[in-house]
Amino acid sequence: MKKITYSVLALLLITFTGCKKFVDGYDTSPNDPSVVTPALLLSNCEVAYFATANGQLSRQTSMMVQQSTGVDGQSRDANEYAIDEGSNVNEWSVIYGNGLNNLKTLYNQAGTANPHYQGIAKIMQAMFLGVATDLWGDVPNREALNGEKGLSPKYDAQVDVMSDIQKYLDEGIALLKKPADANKIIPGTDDYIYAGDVNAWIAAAHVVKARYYNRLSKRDAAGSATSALASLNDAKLAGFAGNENNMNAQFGTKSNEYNQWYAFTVVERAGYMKTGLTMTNIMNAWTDPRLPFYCLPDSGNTYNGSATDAQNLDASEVGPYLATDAAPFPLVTYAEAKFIEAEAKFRANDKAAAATAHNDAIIASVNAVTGAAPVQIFVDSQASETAATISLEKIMTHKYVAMFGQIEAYADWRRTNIPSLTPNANSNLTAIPRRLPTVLDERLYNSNAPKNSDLKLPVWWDN
Amino acid sequence: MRKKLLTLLLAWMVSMVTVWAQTRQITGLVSDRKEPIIGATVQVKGAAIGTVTNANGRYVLDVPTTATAVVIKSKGYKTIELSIAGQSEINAILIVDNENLDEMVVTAFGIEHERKTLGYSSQKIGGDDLKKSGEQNMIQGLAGKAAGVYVQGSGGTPGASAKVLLRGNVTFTGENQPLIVVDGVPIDNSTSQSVAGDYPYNANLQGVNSSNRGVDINPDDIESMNILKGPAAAALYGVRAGAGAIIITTKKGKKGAKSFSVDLNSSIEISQVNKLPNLQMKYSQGTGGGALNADQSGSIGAGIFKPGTTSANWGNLTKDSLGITPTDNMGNFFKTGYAYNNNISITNNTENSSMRVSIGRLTQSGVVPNTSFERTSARISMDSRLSKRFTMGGTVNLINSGGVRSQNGSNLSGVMLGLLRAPNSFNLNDPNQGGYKNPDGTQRQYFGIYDNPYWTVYENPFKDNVNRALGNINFTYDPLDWMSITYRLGTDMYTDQRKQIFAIGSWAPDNAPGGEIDENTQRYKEYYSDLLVTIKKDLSPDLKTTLLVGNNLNHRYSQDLFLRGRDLSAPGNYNLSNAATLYSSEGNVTIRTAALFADFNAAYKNFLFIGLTGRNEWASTFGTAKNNFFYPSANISLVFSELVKIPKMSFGKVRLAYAQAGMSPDPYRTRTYFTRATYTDGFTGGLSFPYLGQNGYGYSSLIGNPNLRPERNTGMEVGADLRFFESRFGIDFTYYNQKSTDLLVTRPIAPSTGYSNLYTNAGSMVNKGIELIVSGTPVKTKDFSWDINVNYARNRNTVLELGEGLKEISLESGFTEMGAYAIKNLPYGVLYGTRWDRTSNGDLIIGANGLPRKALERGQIGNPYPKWYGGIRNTFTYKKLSFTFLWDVRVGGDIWNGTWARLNNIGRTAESAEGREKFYIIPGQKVVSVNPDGSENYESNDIKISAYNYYRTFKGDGGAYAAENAIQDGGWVRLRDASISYALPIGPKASRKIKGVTLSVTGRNLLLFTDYTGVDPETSLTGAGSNIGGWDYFNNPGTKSYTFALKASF
Repeated sequence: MKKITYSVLALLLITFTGCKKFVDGYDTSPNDPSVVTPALLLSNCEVAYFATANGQLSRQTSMMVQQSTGVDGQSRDANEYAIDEGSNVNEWSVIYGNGLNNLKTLYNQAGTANPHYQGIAKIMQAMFLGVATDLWGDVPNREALNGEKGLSPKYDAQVDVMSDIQKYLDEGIALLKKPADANKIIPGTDDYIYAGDVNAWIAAAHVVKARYYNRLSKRDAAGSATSALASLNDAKLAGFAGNENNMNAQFGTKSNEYNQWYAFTVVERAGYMKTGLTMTNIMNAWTDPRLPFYCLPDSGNTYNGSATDAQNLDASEVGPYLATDAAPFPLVTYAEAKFIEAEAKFRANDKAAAATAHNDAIIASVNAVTGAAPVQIFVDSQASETAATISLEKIMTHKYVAMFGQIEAYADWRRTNIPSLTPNANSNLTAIPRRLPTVLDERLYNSNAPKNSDLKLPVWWDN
Repeated sequence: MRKKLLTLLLAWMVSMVTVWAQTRQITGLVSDRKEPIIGATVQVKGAAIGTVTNANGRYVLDVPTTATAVVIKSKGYKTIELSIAGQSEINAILIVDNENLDEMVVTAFGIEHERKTLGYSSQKIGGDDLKKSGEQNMIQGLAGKAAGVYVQGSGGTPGASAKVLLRGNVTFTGENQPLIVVDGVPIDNSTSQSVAGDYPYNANLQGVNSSNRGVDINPDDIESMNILKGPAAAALYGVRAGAGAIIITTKKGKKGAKSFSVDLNSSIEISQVNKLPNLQMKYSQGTGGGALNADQSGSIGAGIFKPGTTSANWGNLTKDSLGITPTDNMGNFFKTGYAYNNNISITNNTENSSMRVSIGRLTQSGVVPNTSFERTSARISMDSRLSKRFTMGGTVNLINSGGVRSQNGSNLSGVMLGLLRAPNSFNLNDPNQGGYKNPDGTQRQYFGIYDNPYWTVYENPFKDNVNRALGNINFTYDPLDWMSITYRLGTDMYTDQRKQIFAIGSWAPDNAPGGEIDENTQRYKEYYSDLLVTIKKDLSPDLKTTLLVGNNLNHRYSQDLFLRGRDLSAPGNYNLSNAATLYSSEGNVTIRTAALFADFNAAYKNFLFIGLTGRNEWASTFGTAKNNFFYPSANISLVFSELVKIPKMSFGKVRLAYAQAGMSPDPYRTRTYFTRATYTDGFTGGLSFPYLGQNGYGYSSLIGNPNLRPERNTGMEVGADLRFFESRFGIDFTYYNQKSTDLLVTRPIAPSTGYSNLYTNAGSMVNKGIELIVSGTPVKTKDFSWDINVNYARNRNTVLELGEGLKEISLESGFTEMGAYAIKNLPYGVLYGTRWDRTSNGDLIIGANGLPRKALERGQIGNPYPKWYGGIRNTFTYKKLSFTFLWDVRVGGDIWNGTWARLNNIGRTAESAEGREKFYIIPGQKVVSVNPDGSENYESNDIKISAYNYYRTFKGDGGAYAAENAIQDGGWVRLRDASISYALPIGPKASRKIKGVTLSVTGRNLLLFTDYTGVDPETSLTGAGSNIGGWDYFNNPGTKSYTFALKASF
């Protein structure tokens, strides 16, 4: 009997020590890596930026400026400014979580041994922040991206965010200027945008600098013009000389690589959005050669978008320029650079230079969109401005058309009020929104988040 | 032949005995009216002389001539005493004793306790009771049957999942459903969608109605289900016991008496849709209708017919203006479903061994065309005594199940989505136009992005096929009279192969005009080992103790392999090699736990009982900092009726229990990993990797945590079990207060931190409630009895803590305007979404356009859990005829009827057509002016709005609507089941071959009373695989059915 009791006790003891051993070593995931390479991070961040620039924010802002019109489904709601704190949580999360946080990881992981990866990371950081602050105004930056160590990042004033953007661009340019042999590894095909061409990145970064200097036109008309022009000159010196230098988002023919305008308007949400009558009216008046690229013919075989407050289901669909599966989508273009130059020169009262830049910009845009130079009759009527004929109205209206689909168009309109737009009459909101509200997940979980739920409240540079 | 031999042998033995003693012989049949009872003990009163009934329920006993009475006993029946004076044929009819005080209850680890000794609440549901439900899913079969058992079905399609909660939700993100244990071994009861690794949304909102894996268990094999409702009952299961446990005992043979029987069970079920929304048959597809007249005297009813170009139905008069005969697409679509269920079981018992073999086959077709569910189950259980001190046994159950599933929910191929939105001006299956296909074989659609439901069901099948084996082997060695050692090794393993086809030209899942094939294999494997040592000691004649110590090892592995092929080349060839674009994803999870535990029980005399348990558990999912935790429990039962006699009270007991049970963290959450992101905004499939030939990885949005602890569910319960009038009336009452602490929160954090969630032990929540069971037998005569059983439960859940600074968290991502949340000081899972703006008096604030203004911030809009629920079963028995019916009552429980809101928006509901020519003034306060301080001045609203705006926005989900407008009361009163059964008379002659034949007709869901405007409110978009409920967005409808059954024993 004792023997049995002892053997039972012994057995229990063995199992006691065995219990710990039995569970040890099963806590690491066999599914996901704990370590990745800079190349994998860069690819991820670039695609995150493509999604940001080409996805919902792009469609939503194009409806705000009436380049397009939502006629059905949720697009119609957005077109009536039914945008609330829950509408863009996803886009905000992509910017901060997928974009900025991984750029920070990329920067740290690449380290000083790989300045080129670090440089691209800095430039992209500036670009992501630029989108965020343009749409949401004050946004977290200096205290952001610290995970569980900082659950409520402070919202930095837009003025500070704008200066950080310039700083990051300067840092990025400096890092990229380091020689290739100062790098252990250099970006290549993992860089969808420029395939590791650091000079192309440097040149485009100068244009981005010009874009954000010019953004301050309402705050500092003269200073913003001077700074923007200086940056454009740097871009030119760095080789930014034509459409071949454009920074584009790249797409493909597989369904997970589609241009999101194509995915939305052709494949998955066909019928939700049409082109906007405001934009097509302008273009028809110009007999614009870009019309067949921007629009599909409507039921009357003309190019007419839907009026903002009409549910015109027969209006022109978005055309192949945006709505083609693998169509590249412009992020920073030569045309934009020239329009910034025209606007800044105009503000600096150099009308002749403004007119030249304006004419160059239009021709560059038509070339980029249609693949050919504009017909002479169009050049004569639209791209032959002189110091005597040029006006801000002309520059900004043309820029509005050239920037079809780009979030920039919404910032430009807010700064200049060109073209003049009438708010959707069906909306309870009596004005076109001038910002996005603080996103739900920030209001709920960040005690420092401002409660900006009023869509009419302008951002700092819009005051 | 065998039985004849047996009879001869018995007769011979009997004749031998008669020679020797002063005895006389009595004989007779013991039955329960319907069937003979095998193995019942027949004993001479006051003497050690007795026998047991044979396979035909008959006995022969030689009794001393002095004997006056026999006592007849059988487990599960009330013991009776019959006089034998002057009679030689003594037949006995035993009555089922559901409330037997000496009833043995199977608790954790298969330990049997007498019910009266238990200090906690548990409720037993017999296999017969389960079968009365007419359900093929044992979980759904529990609905309405027990107090505090909340069952939530997900729809009436074959094999659709059902979810069960005991008392309430105990965890935010873990498993809220109880552990299911079959014959001592846990089985998997998960519900999973087939979803690719790059799918960015909540997969529960779409896809097909999947099964909960408990559906594999054949209800015909179930002897009983014992429900261990709270942590007190389940604590011995440690980290898997937080949500309670359901202990299933399967049918087995019984050692001890030789018998042999064959049971047949056949049924046919005929089912139909029981409830659908009301749709309009008046206006066509199109736009412009419902606009306000220029003089504002009403709205223009008819608009412009726009076939094919809009999802809206604000068009022209279908019949009167367009001359198109309106089509009732919804009415035409559903069909009658049939289910055939056949079971045969063979039981052979000898003195030292028993064996039961059963085979069951179910084939079921659904109300949605081309949907089905099939289940074949083969089971063998054996038990054998090898020597006085050694027994061994085992069970093997092989199951094949699966079928063709129905697309559901927010899904461009969802059956109800494509069907209910279909205009009456478009016949989805027009025989004059080639049915659902165009002449060229492509899909006929009324609007670009919605799949024709006929196309979906016939061209895009989803098939699943599960092969499963579960079982155990067990050995018991009793080295000493007071010591017993049991070892049990169990397993549950299955492979679930699923294939989804989307034909070329389909719209779902997300852009597969080129067609798609999904091959999904889900593997599951669990090994479960128990070593139990039981020591029984009577410390004194009054104090008896039992100590059990044990060790438990558990290994669980699951794998989810997903292969997707898109852009098919040759039409009609659904092989991955025919796809131009391939994608694959793989997920593996291994979890190991190990535990030591002890269970101590002491009984003082016959009235005081104490139980103590403790379990120390190690788990691979705990944080690396500390990986083992302890769970205690204690309970006490006092049978006071043994101490004081209270008039009319036949039994009285009070009980008290306290316990802690646990809940495991999710696996692999101790660190932050990198993942491949999918970039989508909810409208398109988005961008994902591999992208343009490159892979990409970024940080997961979830921050890992090395300090994870298990959650704890600490419960206190008190109860009383009182019986009166010789147990003809009984009350069982329980009050419980269960607090869940250290709740794991996938804590949302501001995305500006770089992440979206932090996994941490931060929450707490309390469930308080009462459970009441009242049973009575108001009428009881020799031939007639009326039994009533009422169960009632109410649970109040309150979220106490979510983590520092958090007031609310989303539990599962939902729709843009609405989600399910845990909010501090509110019940778990409340519906949270957009609301209307209101004045301080609660009136709607009306904007300049005559529509209510939407509030800037979201808030609570509904609670999906009922205020209380219960069931009332009445059973009338007259001789061999029995009639029973169960009313199932659920009071409260909100549902977000997103279906109704969308159908109003697009002008499909009947109400949107009836009211189309009117104008509307929404009751509320319109804004007249705004004061300098921003406050507003109001006056009563008089702004007329069109029918279109009224239904699109105020009653629908278009424009600046608020999700609160679609919250509806999902409460009900339903006749859950009603059944008439008749046991054919068995004469003494017939009993030799046929022991019993019972015919029955059962109706399920025959009556349903509810204010809900959609399908049967027993519905859940997210199914049993989700922790949330109360969402209806084009959910598949429920069903009612009639079942005709024949049961025979030979």
